[in-house]
Amino acid sequence: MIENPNILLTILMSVPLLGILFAAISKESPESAGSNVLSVGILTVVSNLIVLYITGQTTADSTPALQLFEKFEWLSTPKIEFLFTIDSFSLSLLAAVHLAILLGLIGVHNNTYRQKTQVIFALLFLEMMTGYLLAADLFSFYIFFEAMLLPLFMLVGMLGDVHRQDILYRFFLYNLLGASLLFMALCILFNYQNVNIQDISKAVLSHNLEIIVWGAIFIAFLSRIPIWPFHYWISSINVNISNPLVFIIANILPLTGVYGLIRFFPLTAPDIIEPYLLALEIISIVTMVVIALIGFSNRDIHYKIFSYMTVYYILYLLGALLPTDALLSNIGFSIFSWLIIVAAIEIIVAHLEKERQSTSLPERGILSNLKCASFILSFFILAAVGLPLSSMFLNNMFIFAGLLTYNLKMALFILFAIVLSSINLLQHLFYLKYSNNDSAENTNSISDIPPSVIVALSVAMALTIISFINPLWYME
Amino acid sequence: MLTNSIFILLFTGIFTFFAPQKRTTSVWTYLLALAFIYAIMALTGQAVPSDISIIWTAMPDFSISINLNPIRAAKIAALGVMVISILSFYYNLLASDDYNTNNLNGLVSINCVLLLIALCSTNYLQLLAAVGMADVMVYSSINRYDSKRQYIYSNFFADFLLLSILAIILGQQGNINIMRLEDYSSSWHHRDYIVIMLLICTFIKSGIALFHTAYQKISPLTSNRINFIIFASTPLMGIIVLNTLHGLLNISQYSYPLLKLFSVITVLWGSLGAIFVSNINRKSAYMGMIFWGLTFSCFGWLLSFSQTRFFTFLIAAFLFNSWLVFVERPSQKLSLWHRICNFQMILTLLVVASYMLSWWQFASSNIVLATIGEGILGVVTATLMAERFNCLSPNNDRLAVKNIFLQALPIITIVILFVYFNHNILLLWPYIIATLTIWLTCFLLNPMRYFGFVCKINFIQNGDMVTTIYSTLFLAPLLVVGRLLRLMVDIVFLERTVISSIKNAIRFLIFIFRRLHANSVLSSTIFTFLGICIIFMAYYQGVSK
Repeated sequence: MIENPNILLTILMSVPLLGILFAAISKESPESAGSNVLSVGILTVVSNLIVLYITGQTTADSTPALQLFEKFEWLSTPKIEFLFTIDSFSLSLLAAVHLAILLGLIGVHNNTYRQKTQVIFALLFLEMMTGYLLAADLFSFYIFFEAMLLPLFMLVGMLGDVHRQDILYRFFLYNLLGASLLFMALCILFNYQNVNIQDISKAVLSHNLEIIVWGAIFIAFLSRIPIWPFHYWISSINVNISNPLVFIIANILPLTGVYGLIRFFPLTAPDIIEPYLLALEIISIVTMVVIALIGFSNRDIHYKIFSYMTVYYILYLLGALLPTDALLSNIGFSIFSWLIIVAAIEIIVAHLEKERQSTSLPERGILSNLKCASFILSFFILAAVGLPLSSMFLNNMFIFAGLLTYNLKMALFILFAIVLSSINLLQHLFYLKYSNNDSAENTNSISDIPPSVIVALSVAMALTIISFINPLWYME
Repeated sequence: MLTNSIFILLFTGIFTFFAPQKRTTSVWTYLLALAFIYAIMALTGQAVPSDISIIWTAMPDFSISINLNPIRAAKIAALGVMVISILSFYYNLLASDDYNTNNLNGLVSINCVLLLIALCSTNYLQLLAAVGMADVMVYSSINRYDSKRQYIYSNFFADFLLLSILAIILGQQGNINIMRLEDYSSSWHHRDYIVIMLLICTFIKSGIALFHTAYQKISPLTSNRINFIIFASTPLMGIIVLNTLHGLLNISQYSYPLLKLFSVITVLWGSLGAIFVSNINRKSAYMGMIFWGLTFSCFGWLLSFSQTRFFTFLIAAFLFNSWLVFVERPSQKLSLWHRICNFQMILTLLVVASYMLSWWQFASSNIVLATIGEGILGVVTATLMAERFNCLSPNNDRLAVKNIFLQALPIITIVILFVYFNHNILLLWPYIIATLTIWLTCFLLNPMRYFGFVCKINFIQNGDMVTTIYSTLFLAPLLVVGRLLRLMVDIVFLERTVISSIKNAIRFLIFIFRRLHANSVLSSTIFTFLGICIIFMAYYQGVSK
């Protein structure tokens, strides 16, 4: 037993920084082809996963209450303290983010182009994400919220496809709006009361100021979630990125918006914005349906994955906005499997895309002779659509139960969007598997997933199945 | 104890996956059958149901008790499920054109375990998990992509409907106990929605008319796989779901009329398909449709649903379908009398008699339903057998002679067991003889041959009306709307209007500032003027304060 378990939070924050340091100074020769720095990256993430497991074992129970606390005083005047804490919800999200990035790193093991840069920025993103999910004070929360954009900006700039300038323009434009509004709101809150995040909804403000502050906070977090009209910059990144690591990181980013809203309003939104919540819910559901429909008519697998992720992000958001905190653990457990599943799907899709480009074969039927890739992709897509292969199955049912009880008509639209986005994935699976013509014979020239990736994906499969049987396996 | 047996069946099924696929299939099938026989003995020998259940810690504050002990009514169903699985193993072993027998047997075994779990379920989540996992197993047993695709689309949709209605009940009642379903009618909402969705879900799972495409698309598979899928897997799960949640049928006035309507359409559709479609595997699928249509009609018209009689009917239907695919024209050298008296014909009569008798037993509490069903079954089976006895077989005579005893073995065994356990049935001998005489007359005259011209219509043989309707009415509009939305929302509105306007506005601002900062008289004048304005404003603000 660890004497002072609070130190685990510091270790969690320090390991990625240490990894960045080692990755930055790692020597690379043409023969090693990036394997040295990649090993550092993988080892760093695995080390942090072990620390996370120990943290899960150390926490007293799996209730949503905050468990460990770590405080650092930065300035005495004005008084600025960094406060970090963890609960079962943020633990689930941290584990999911780490596993998704680990899969992303394994997915780029053959990609030698600027591998050092990829690993360093991926670890930097992980560091920022860890800090964000552990932050309990306004200051560190804001710093990590904004700082995580830097590695993604750099990765998109360096590894994006042909339209990267346009993407970066949209990226900057939308995030500038979110950053400015959140900065303004937090400055006002800091000026009035330097409170911790869990007490923020208790802050006493004048009527107009309350509208401005909560409105700004809402828009800032929504700018990260692909809700209309903010979906456009995220969809642009998704469609124009073929690197699996960058794709995974870009798809983790909206999680920060959902998490921010959950942290700021753990039980209910402030009364002042209650009348506007209905409008937000309607916009969210319309976005779900529209994006699912666009995904249905779109051939691009990246757009289909984006459509699937958008629908689920909004589902989690709507679940979190319900006037109860009973669904919080369901959302956490569901996101755990969901992020792993999406990361695994993206790795296989990226592998197939790379093979397709090198052999100039058509996309249709490319899986027909690849047994491993076909089996693993089928497993993850069946798990993604909600069959009982992961913790999504049971936990999503509880989220649906909450939504259906709250408003049946709205919930039916949500279910329609979920069914449609899931069918999008199934549609593409069969598009990749089923060949109408003789091209199936030519697919013999395509190589299956490398053994190291198969091992990693098998572990991911095992984790999703374990999460179905016992989602609390990593907690005491 | 069934709990132990379930684990034995599960592990034997999993081990079979790792067995070599092309060797020792008989040994592995034998081992699986032994495990099943042990499970049957354990189930029949269990006098008092034990109350052992497994706690599934699904969430921090929520644990689900997995019940693995069938109540008295489900005990017979459990036996029926195991017997039908053993029959599936047997026919898998006989199927010479199926190369992954061990794999398939493993899936049959795990599917049986999931059916047992669904049968024993006392809460929704156990039922829902069993239904979903069984879908994954059956999906894996389909070895053609086109068939897989149709199967998973339909069943994913059905699972989602089931999940949505159970989520509504969970949200309103706050518990997952199936026994409390009866209370739902007292005070809760959305009753019609729940019942209609439940019926659609079971219709899809059991391949009822207008939802039957998935089972028509499995016709390219081998006959043993088709029979397993139609009789021992998802459609059976559909009936288990309906039977488990039958308490919900009473909460809406639409449930029984819908059940009756769809069952009638299914039986008619299946009968016409079985008679007029030429492909033997599609005929087999249509025979499955007739079977499930008749079963649903019993749900609609009968006051009680007898598990024993249903499973007898199911086993008889399974044997009939297996025999239908196997039976072939006897040698042309034989006289008509010898052709009728040969071993194949006797077995055919046995199979048909057991099929029709089991239906009579099943539906006997509603004499009109039983008679109509009997008539339809008689006409369809007589027509099919008459066709089979007059068509060319792909097999040579030697193979047929070799296999006929193996084919006959389960039929004779089941019929002997049936008569042994239902010896009262022999008292109906005048009825049996009369029915068989009518059937033989129908068989020899084959009145449906006058409608042979219908078989030549290409649409009947190759058309897929339901898929066309779905594609035209549902999928095509969704595709069009999706493309229009992409064009309007993403490209026209956001890209060309909002982002383009912001870009132009920024460009305009940059232009203005460049002009202001230019080294010209105008810019110096404007800046001087602005400075003076600010001074005056500051002065007046100060004075006013």
